[in-house]
This record gives sequence, structure tokens and C-alpha cells, in this order.
Amino acid sequence: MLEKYKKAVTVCSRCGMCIVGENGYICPVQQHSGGFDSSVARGRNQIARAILEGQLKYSNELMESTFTCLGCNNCHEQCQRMDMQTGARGIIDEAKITQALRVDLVRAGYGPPDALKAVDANIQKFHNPFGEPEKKRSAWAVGLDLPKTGDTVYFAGCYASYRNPKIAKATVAILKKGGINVAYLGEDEWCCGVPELWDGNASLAEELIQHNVNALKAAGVKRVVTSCAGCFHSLKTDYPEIIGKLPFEVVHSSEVIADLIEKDKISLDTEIAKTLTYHDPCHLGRHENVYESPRNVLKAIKGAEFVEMPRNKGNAWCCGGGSVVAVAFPDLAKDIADDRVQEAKGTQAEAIVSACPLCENGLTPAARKAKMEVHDLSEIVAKAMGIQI
Amino acid sequence: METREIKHHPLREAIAGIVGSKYVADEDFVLVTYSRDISAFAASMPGIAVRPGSTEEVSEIVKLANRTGYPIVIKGGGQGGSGVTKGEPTRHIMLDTGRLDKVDVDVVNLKVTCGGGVRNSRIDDALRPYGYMANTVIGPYYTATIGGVVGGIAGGGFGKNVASVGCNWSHVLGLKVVLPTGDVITTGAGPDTNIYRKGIEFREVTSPDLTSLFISSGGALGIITEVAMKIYPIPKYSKAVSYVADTMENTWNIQLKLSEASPVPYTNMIMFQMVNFMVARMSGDMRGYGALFFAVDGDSEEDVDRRIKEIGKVCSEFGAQKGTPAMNHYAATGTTGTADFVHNICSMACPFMTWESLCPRSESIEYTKGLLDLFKGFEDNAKYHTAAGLYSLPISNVMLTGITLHWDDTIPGVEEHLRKVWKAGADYMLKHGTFSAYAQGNHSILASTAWSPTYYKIMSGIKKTLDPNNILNPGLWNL
Repeated sequence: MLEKYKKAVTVCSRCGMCIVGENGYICPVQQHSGGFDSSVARGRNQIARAILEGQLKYSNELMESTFTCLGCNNCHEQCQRMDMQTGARGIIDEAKITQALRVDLVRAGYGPPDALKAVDANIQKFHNPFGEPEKKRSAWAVGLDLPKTGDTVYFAGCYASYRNPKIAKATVAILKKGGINVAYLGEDEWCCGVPELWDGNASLAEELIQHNVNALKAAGVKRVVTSCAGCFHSLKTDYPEIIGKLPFEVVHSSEVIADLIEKDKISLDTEIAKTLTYHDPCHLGRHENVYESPRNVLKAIKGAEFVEMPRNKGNAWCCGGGSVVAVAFPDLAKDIADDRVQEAKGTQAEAIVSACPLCENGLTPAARKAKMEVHDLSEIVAKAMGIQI
Repeated sequence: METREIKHHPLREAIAGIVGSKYVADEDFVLVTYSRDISAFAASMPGIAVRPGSTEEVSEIVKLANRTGYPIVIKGGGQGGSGVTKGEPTRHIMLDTGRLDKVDVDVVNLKVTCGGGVRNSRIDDALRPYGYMANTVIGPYYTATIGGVVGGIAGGGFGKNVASVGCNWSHVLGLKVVLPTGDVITTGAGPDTNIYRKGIEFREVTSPDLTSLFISSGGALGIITEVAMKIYPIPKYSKAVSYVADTMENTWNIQLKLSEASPVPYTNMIMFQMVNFMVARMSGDMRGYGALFFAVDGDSEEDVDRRIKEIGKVCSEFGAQKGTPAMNHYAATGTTGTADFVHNICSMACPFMTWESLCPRSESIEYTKGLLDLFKGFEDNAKYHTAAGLYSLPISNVMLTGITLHWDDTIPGVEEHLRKVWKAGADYMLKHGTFSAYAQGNHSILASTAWSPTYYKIMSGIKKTLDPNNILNPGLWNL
């Protein structure tokens, strides 16, 4: 699979713009590991190139290192490399290169790390990474009378379904109040495939993707709304790349909420007298370029003050949970989350708001220590609308 | 899955004892990332890589190397274009200075003390809140380390204010250096030239100027672990302007004439040939030979405007046209320390090697024409998509001219072609009494072939005295 990215890894100039940029250090993994070049994009590209040129063999140590990449795309954001003929930027897609190398490693019998093998087994059997019964997936929706078919389907994702159902409930309540008739697949919604894309298990990822697309097609959907940044990026970008053009649109709940506010269909007039800062989820921001909608939503909350962290939007520091690193290397993920929370604390904000259940999950323990709150965007919006969840 | 026995470097355990196991690696996949710089020069695999976190740790590693006979090669930002120092492939210790990244700002004494592994942009990041800046390099600003710049580039690098205040060597107050024996010394007015001083206070000392010995030594004589530098207030007013000159002669005349003025009207300037990929994109429909970018700083808007007018007058005298808004924007962002002047223009398009040299003003145009003609003489350039782009800027009493060589890395055989082309240019430079500004890898080896026997004798004597076991960057400068 790495062969597909041969040109990209070959044209890497090895210049090191993926190490330090306008906002200081770029790679969270480099900062919380030994910091060798093998942990940053220019090194990872050289490794990939050496493999493709037959100068480097796979090893378990290489596998472990490859699985530490967060896929946060900060290196891709900073990379200045252009295509000489077209002038296009972004020609070295480090996240895709890492995914491809993981697939090749796993196919060759190296990895994934043990913790991820359990995730694989859970997804294979229960279609969620936690090993929870499939029936429990839709427990949050009991009593909401959500149809299984319709123009707009809410895709809750595994984290909101099994770990933080308040996010799913809040999102659906907001959409309904905004006049959107929202449908829900229930147990026909499977894991979006993100963990498998990063686990090196491409065939299982494809199986999940195919299932979800078929289920969504069967529901007659025209628009899929999701509150999970990971699911959003996967559905919007990975799905079409893997199985071709989709017959429906994919949007993130923050975009829909911002639109509802702009059209005066909802108002956030229950006062929340707090200083809020926003953490950009990598999959929503750098991967999908959605920066303004969540900010516009927060700025519309009555009584709330919005402050930016020094590293924001394209320069935002990852929460540490990307690309299944939180599962495979929990201590590394925790250290990176600590960085982010300290940065938020420095703005004098009382609460961090994100638009991804994974980010919320990753940042919460560090925030608790720092005496800060962490909220998902949907939850705080519901509160500002006076909705009880 | 193939199982292989892991064979560790003999010094792994001992080095781990110094820096901690987290900061030492001898796995092939780590070492391969330390085998090359940005150039097309051949790779050289180290035997082990280490990232020490203090001068003391560097000193211990050097002492260990001396005891055991494993040489050390140094890596800063890895932005060198001379090829990595060969060392003893698969055996040598690669010392990555990246963790020596502390920056200590002393506004009262107008100085900053930085670890040798600090990236240049990080120095300005630390100084900006105080309203100060350092003069490190105009590029590579984000990627090169201050130790690499001071140690690896002639003059210690060319900073943002190079036109008005000269090369970086004049801003360096002193250095902390781990000598090839592991001893640590401070140069300049520091605790080693006066045992009653605590830090490095200023450059002038009651001793020979040892700082200059280590500037542009390439790391052959010591490892720079700290650099103390003078700092300057960020100018109150900055403006930028750009021009396009029609011929090489006019492009040159503008630069020479403007740089004769006292004071020089611009704070910094650079000329890129219009064929440069990035310049071509910025300049739209404009046609000409050279794009001239000027940054002008001053304490008042009137002063800045007066200087810009002066630049405009000279440019018009030689028929140059005002540049596009995109060019002006580049001149502004590329010369204010907020963006990387050279990196953006050179590395965005492709990797590069360079024929960069300091040349007497009087002969600089003919010299440069000859170098450009030499490049054109290589028939295979088209096959390997090899291009050359000229840049220049007057520095002090000389012209800096650089020709960047660009290529398509995906074409098989391109690197051999590049090495051949580069070598021809390097020979040309040497025979014209000048040479590349890089004090590293292959550049240093070729440069030293033109040293006189007396000079070589002195340098090898210094090397032997400081490095009796030839442990530090062996082979650099043919020493």
C-alpha cells in the first residue's frame, strides 16, 4: 500500500518544516518521545523511502514507532512543499503515508500493538471498539422516537453511543428544535471504520464502510449529520476515497448548528456566564478545514466570553487521542492532553469546548487536574438553548 | 513475519547511562533518518543516535567516545546542503543537538543565551514579548539551529539586518563549547576568560578571540552547546518594496549602487532571478531578469518613506519596474523575521543544493555569468528536470551570489547527475578564489583542498591539539 505514496515520500525535501513552525514545535509525539527524527514527518518519509527502495526491513520496533503517529496532520499543515509543475501544496499527505505503512506492516505480520488487537476483535464481533453489545448502541435514543429513514440521518458514532450519550441526545434535541426531522440507523449504524483505517486493518475498515454506506442508502438519506469529528472525516473523505462517490452529503453538527443560528431557527439565549476556549479537533480542523462554524456557535452563546488558545485552527495542538494512539500508548496520549489543557488554562478560560467526543474524552482527565471543565459543543449549545439532557 | 536478532551498538548502554534510555537509539529505522541532509549527496549511516539534554551530557558522551574510539558526528537542524559528514559509517555516534533548546533572555544586558540546538525562529519567539529580536539567519529560519548556523556557515550566518550590521559573527558575544576531549570552555567575555564572571557578557576579551575559531569550524574543533548573542529592539516601522530589473547588468548595478550608500537605505534585500518558480508565480505578467525585494526598517514613518524613495530612485535609474502586490507582500513577510526569507522561496518547490559564495564586488557579475554558463553546459539537465536559480545580496564589501540547483527527486539517476554538476561548479568557485559559504560535509572537504600548505599546517596543528584522538567530525576539512 505504501507503494501508492512513493512519489510523496521521495519528494520530501527533508527540510524540517515539520519540526518547528510559526507557533513553535509542531509534532506532539516528537515532544513527548525521545524526539528522534524518526518521530517526525521528514524522518517517517525517509523511513518509508528506505523501505520502498529495499534498504530497510520491517521490525517490531519500527511497527511500534509507526503506531505512535497521531495523524494530527500538523506536519502536513506546515509543509511548504509544492508540486513544481502545478504549484499545488499539500503533496505529502503524512497521515495517509502512515496509514499505508501501518497496513503494510500488519500484512507482513508486524503488529498492530496488542491493545489494538483487542479493538480489532471487538469491532469484528460487535461493530464497536469497546466490545459492548450491539443492542446497547441505540440505548441513548430510547424514547426519542427517531425514524430509521429520512432525508437527514444522525450518525452518532461509537463514542457518543456508548461512552457519552449526552452528546448524541443533545445533538438530536438541537436538530429537532431547529426544525430538522432527523432519522437514526440504530443498530444498523456500525463503527465508522476510523480505528481500522489506523489499525492497519484495511479489509475490516472496508467492510464497515460498505455496511454503513448500504445502510445509509437504504435509509434514503440525502444528508448525514455527525457530531464526531473522526466519523465526519471518515465519512466525508475516507469513504469516497475507498469506495467511490457517495450518494449523500456529509456535514458536521457544528456546521448545521451554526447555520440554524444564522437563520434564526434556534437561539442560544440561556445565559452561560463563562469564559470558553475552543479546541480544534484535528479531524474537523486540519483534515476538513472546518474552523469558523464552531467558533461562531460559541460566540452566539449569551453571556459567554470566547478566547482563543495561542495555538489554534491550523496550528492547534492535538488532544493526544488521534489515530488510536490513546488506546495503544495511553501515557503518551495523556502527556499530550496535559500540554493542551495547560495551554487552555493559560488563556484564563474556565472551560474547553470541543466538537469531538474523542477529544472530550482525552482532555477530561487532564482538565480535571487543572480544575477546568470540558464540554462537547452540542452539550453546551443544548444548555444555552435551555434544553435539559 | 521474519524474526531477527537485534544487535545493539556497543555503546548503547553506556550512552543510555548518560542521557537516559529514551534519548538513545540504534535501530536501523531511526538511524536511516540521520543518514542524509537536504542535498543529493550520498548517505552515511551512523551506528547510534543520541539526543543529549545538557552541556554536561554532551561532555560525558565526548569523553566516552574518546575512551572507546567511536567518532562523533553532529547534527543540528539537518538543513545543511553539503552532505552529512561521513564519519565512520555504521559505527559513529550521531549527536543530535535538538534538546539543547533553552533560551534565556536578558533584556537589561541586551543579550540572549540559547542552547546550540535552538531553531532560529524560537529565539525570536522568546524575544518578541520583550520587543526584541536577534540577527540569526534570513533562512532557513525555522529549520536550522543556532549552533548549526554559527558553526556551519561562514560568518556565522547572514541575519535579517545583514546589510546594516553585517554577518552574524559580529552579534555573537561568546560560545559555550564542548571540546573534542570533553572539556567545556566558554569563549568571549565569559567565566573562562575571567573566573569572576558568571555568564558570557560581551565579545571583547582580555585574550585572543577564541570565539572566531569555532565560528564556521563546522564542528571539527568543538560542539557548540550555547550561543550568547546581542539582541536588538524590533524596529518601530517596517515597510517593504519590490522591483523587477530587465537585465542582469541592471539587476547588478542596482544592488551595487544601493549598497554603496551610507547608511544603506534598506535593512535587508535579496534578489531572485525571475525564472525562480516562486518568483514567477508572484510576479504575474511582469517580465525581466531579476526580482529585487527590499525590507526597510526605521524609527519613524518619515524615515522609512525617505529610504523607500531612495531605493525607488536608484531602481528607476536602472530602468526597474515596481513589483506586484504579491511580491511586496513577500518582501514584507520574508524579511521581517515572521517568515523564512530563503526557505519559502527555495524549499517550497523542491530540495536544493547551492553554489553560494562571497565574491569581490568588482568581479562578481562576470564570475556569476560564468557559473550560470557552466550550468547550462550540462546537456542532461533537461532529462533530470534540473534547474538553476540565481539569488544575490550585497554583504559588507562583497556580493553574496548563490545559484540553487533544483531537481526532480523521482527520476532515477538524478542524484548522481546533481553531484556531477555540483562538483563542476565547486571547482569553478575554488579556481576563482571563492567558495561556498557552508562549512560542512563535502563543501568543507573541497574548500580545504585550496588551503595553502602553511594554512593547512596551522589548522591541522590546532585540530591535533584540540582533538588528539580525531574523535569529532573526522574528515571534516580533510583534518
